Amino acid sequence: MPRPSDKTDLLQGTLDLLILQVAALGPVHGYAIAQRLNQISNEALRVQQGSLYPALHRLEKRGWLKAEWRAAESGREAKFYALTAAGRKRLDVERTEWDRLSQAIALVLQTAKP
Amino acid sequence: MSHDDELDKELRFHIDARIDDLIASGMAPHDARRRARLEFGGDLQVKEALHDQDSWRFLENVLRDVRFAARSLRRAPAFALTAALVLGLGIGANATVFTIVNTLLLRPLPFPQADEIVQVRRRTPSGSSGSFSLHDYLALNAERRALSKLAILDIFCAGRYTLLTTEAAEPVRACRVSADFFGALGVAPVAGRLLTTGDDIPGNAPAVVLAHAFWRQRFGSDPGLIGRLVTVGGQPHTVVGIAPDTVQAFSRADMFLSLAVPRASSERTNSFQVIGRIAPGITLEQAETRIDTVARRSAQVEPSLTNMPQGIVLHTLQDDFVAPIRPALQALTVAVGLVLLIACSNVANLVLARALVHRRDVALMAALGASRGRIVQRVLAENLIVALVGGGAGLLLAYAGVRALPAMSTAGMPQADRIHIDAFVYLYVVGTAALAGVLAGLPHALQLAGGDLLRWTKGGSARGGASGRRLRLTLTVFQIALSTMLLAGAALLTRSFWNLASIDPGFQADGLLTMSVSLTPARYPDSARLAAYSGELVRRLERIPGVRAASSTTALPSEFPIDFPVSVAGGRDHQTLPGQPAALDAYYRAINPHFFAAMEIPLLEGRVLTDADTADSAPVIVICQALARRAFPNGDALGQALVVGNGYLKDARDLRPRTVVGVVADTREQGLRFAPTLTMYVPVAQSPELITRLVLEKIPLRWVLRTSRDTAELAPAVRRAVLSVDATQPPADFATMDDVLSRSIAPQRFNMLMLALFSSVSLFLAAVGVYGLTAYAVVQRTRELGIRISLGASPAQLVRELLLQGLRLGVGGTVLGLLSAAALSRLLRGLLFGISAADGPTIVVVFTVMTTVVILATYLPAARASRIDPMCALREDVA
Repeated sequence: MPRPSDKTDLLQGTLDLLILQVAALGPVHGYAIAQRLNQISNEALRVQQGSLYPALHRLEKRGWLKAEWRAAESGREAKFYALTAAGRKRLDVERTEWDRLSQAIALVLQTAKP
Repeated sequence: MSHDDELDKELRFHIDARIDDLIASGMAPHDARRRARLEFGGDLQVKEALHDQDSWRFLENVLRDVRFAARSLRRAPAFALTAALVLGLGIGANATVFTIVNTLLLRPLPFPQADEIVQVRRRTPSGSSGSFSLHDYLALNAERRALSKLAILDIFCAGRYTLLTTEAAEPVRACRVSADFFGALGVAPVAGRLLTTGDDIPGNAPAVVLAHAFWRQRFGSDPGLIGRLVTVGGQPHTVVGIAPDTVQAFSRADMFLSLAVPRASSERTNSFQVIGRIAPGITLEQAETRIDTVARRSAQVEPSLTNMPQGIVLHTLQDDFVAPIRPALQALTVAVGLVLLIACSNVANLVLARALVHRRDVALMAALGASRGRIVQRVLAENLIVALVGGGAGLLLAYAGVRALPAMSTAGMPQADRIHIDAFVYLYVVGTAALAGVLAGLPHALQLAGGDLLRWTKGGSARGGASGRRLRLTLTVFQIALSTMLLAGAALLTRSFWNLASIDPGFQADGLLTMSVSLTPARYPDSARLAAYSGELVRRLERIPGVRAASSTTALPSEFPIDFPVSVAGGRDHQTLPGQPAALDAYYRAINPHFFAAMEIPLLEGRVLTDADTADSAPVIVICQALARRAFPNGDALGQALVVGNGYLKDARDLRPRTVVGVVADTREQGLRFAPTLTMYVPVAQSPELITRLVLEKIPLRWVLRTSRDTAELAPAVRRAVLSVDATQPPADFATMDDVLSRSIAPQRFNMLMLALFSSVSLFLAAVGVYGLTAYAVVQRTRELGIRISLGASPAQLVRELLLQGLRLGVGGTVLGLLSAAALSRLLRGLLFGISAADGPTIVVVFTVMTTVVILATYLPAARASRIDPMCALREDVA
């Protein structure tokens, strides 16, 4: 039986980056993050709940996200996550890392091209 | 909101939001709900994933495991109880021995900075001795930079003295100590003050400090006692204060009398011991080097007066107490560890047997996604619970054991009443229980962790049992081996003790009553008067019906020796003749002439002492055969002359040559353990004055009575007789000679009993283990055996087969055990007497006993196998 935590580390790190980016735009609850990622990426990215919530909790525990229970648009109470100062710094680091990585991969792919 | 509830709420919101969106996009509510659920997946999984990151997860898991384990154990009470009891036995035995080790070895003595208190010992050719003379003490005391406090005290620190009160004379235990004694121990008084400088200056009023317990029991803690005079040992002493109970860790004396220490002395007799406290700021080694230098220098300056020419060693007080029992404690610790291992492997076998039963549970857990690690955790949780319950039982066992110790050991375990259970023991029990639980569960856990879990859970009795059976076999062999080791140890100690106990002491111990009378030196200042007292009391004692002979002596066999140099007389200045050996040291006995009759020591040559040998008749001496051979290797001892106390005695009359008039058989003097010692017997009337005085000051007069009636009947009459000669000198310490001798080998008896106890327990456990193994095998193979019987195999054949298997087990385990025992034999070496650790007959006996037990334990279930009804067996479904 595959367990949700069997996802690769790379994907986990990438997901963190995406979540932080979305949160940077303002406090947002889990469902909204999933929706936004889906929308922004033109349906390319579909985050499994099994990955999303563990990631959110992990980021909250690391102090990069701050959580607060608030009333959502629908009237029900939801847990909203906002970026902390430390989280913002982390986002910058992650973005830089991602840029470096994607450049490196691009280089490799270029040279590998026949 | 609890954490779990929050999680629920968050996930619920997500689903509801999705449902709303789906409805908004046109889906029917019912379908929307179903779709959202499907997309979301099982929230259990999500929650599991979330939980994975939770730091509380570990605790939750543990609690869940514990609850599950408790439930599963409740369903199998037989297993749980048996396992807990078996582990309890092992843990309890360990805890008991640990309590002893903790109190005596690990905890410091109850004095402040106890590791700075030292026992001063002088080096001798055979090791070291704790006995000192006044002269040597004064030489050491001149140096203050090594030991800040140096005290000299009686070597028998609980000698018998007489306390005279208005009511009666009663015997007390007292010790004479110099002023620095309490300072060296570092204790503070309970009331009044302790001895200080000034108390030991000759000429000052003698002071006495009472022990707290004595003050409480004898004087009712009367504070008015302080400042009053009490007469002890014939002298009035002023009670200056009360010593605290902690002093009992050093000495059992009721009273501590001030010892008058002169500024200078040429006194050479080693009748004292010396303790001290290391000067602040230096180590034991530094102090030892310094004081050793002082000793050697003093020896060079006054070679004729010194007894410490080879220098000084320092032992901490604790080391000194503990050194004699350390080998025994080490052996016991190992023994008890073996018992625990046997208990653990026994329980491990139970766990493995049970594993086959709850195989299905494990399969279920694996199917639900539990990792191997989680399953192992669950198994271990079960074992830990059993082990902790066992630990509780073990603790109770330890309490009982500690309470039984003083009774079991008498003199075998020093300070047996100091031994108590404290927080360390509790910690030890918890730790041991945890270890035992892990060890007991380890084989099963390994079985689960390695190999294919699924195959194992699916396997039928034939398959699933295979690896388990091998494990159980190995564990059983292990148990047999360990049990063999313990049996070997117990057998060796038993034979050793038997050797000791059956040594011929050289006299007739049966029917001999002993007692002591501590005499006031002032009332009996010389040998003549002492002889008169002794003779008169002998006459009165021998008039009592039932007393055939009585005599006084300076010391009983197996008690602390009093030895002096003895040399062959002749030549000028009592120098040794050419060809004769240099001065020998022999045990000295000043006796009443009826001694040999009372003791029934055989006379070999010449005659024994008689009443005719008085202070005025020719000086005579009787020696034992060993001394005769050593002193006169070339010829007859009779008629030759010996000088006693050369170098120690000053009075010319004391140094008169004494004619050897008789040679008697050898006796064992230093307990039953050692070779016959050189002994010389001198009539009390002719005993050197100095010796008489010294002996009277240090020790009570010992008496032996040859009786034909029971001790209890005679004691009152004897007491009356003693008091009739001198009402101020009461008798004490009535004991039969058998008891006295038995006390001298009490430590060996204790070791033997303990090891025999552990060995029996281990033998029982191993037998049960073998029984269990075979019984289970029979049950497992019921179908197979049934088939074979129905096919014509005779039951006897099957039984033989099982027995052979058991025999292989037994022989294998025993051989393994004997080999391992050989490796550990070093531990026992210091405890054995008269046999080596590789004693042939013992090995044979151990081998036979062990294999017999194993065969018996195999036979019982095997016999049942022969009675298997093939029809029932075939129908049985042993899953």
